[in-house]
Amino acid sequence: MNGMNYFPNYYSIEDIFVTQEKVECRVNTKLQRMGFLDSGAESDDLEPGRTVNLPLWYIKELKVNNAYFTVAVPDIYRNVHKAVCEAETTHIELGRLHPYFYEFGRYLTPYDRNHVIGRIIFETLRQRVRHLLDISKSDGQAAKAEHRLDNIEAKLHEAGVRTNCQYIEWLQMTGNKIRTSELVEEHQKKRRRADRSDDEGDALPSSKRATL
Amino acid sequence: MDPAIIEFIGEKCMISIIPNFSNEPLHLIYGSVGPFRAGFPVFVPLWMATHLRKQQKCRIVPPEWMDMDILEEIKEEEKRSKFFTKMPCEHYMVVAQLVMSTAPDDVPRCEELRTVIKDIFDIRESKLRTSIDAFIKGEGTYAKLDNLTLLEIHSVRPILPYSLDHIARYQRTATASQRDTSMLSASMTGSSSGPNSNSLFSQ
Repeated sequence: MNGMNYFPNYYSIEDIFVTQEKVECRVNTKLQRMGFLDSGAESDDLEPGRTVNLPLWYIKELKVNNAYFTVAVPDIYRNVHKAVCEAETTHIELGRLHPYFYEFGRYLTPYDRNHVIGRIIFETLRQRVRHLLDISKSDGQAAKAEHRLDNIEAKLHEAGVRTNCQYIEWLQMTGNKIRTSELVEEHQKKRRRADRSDDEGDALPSSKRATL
Repeated sequence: MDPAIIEFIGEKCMISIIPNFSNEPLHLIYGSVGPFRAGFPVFVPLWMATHLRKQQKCRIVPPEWMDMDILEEIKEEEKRSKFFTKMPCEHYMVVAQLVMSTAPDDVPRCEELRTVIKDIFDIRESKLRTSIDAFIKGEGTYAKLDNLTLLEIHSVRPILPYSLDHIARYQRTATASQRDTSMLSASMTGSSSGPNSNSLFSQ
């Protein structure tokens, strides 16, 4: 239940996944002895002008206008995909573009000079929420893979489907059956096993009576 | 919020029954339930009514609004009006469900009533969905809906508040970054850059 009311904290697994994504950065100044960051580097130092792929958690701690790296905005938030997002908001398969489309965009927003990303994710989510409300009216068994939703949308969808199932169960009054608890079932199985081996075995009856 | 909890809240509605036994008034925690005299109607809470009915100690009298003509009229009113009309009972769905499942014989024309009530519920639910659509599209900051019952609210909860949370989060990051860089460029160049897309977030 916590997944949907999503405010990323240090331990949140989705947040860890999102910040693990690699972003491409161009090095601006010469960084001494940081050559290990770039796997193809010849020297110990990072030369300006090279591009390295760094994880997001590394970059986000630096200031936006820092002198060392320039973050290149990934293609999924740029021209072609941006146009597709705006044209076909509900049919676009965000899950295929990037499983954490919204969160990744949120982290990248400060680095984007043209202010494109923030607006795209905001508008896309707004349009898609209406579509999401509609499709969560289904049972949940049919065709979930078709929709290819982003992680956040998938959680919202799951919540909607669960609500709907509860409502239908209530209407048909099938929901509230009292079930035997697991402990009781296990205990009954053990007793049945003990009784069976009692009948066929030569075991001393006293040893079987240890628990009752 | 489960439908079971909503049912629990709705069971407190009073309903009239005709017991076939006689008894002293029962003094319950929230109040007393009047003396029971066989053959005379008495008002009891719904949970007690279903309980007694299952033990076949009474007969349930359907509430006045559970009548074909009244419900048809409510349905027409609901179809015509743009807003939500006031329902005869705050928990009409719960009352209808419980009464018709425990005592279908006590209610005349049970199946048709069930269909009409379900129709009313569906109309209201679709009205709710369209108004949510309009709200999200129109980028308002708050909305007020009157005369919604609990079960209808249950159908959009918790997906609606959570999705609005997310939308608000992205809106905040978008405006924050826009504001920061426009302040930065304003201080650097001395003139406000004022990008056009600011109008999107004017509220």
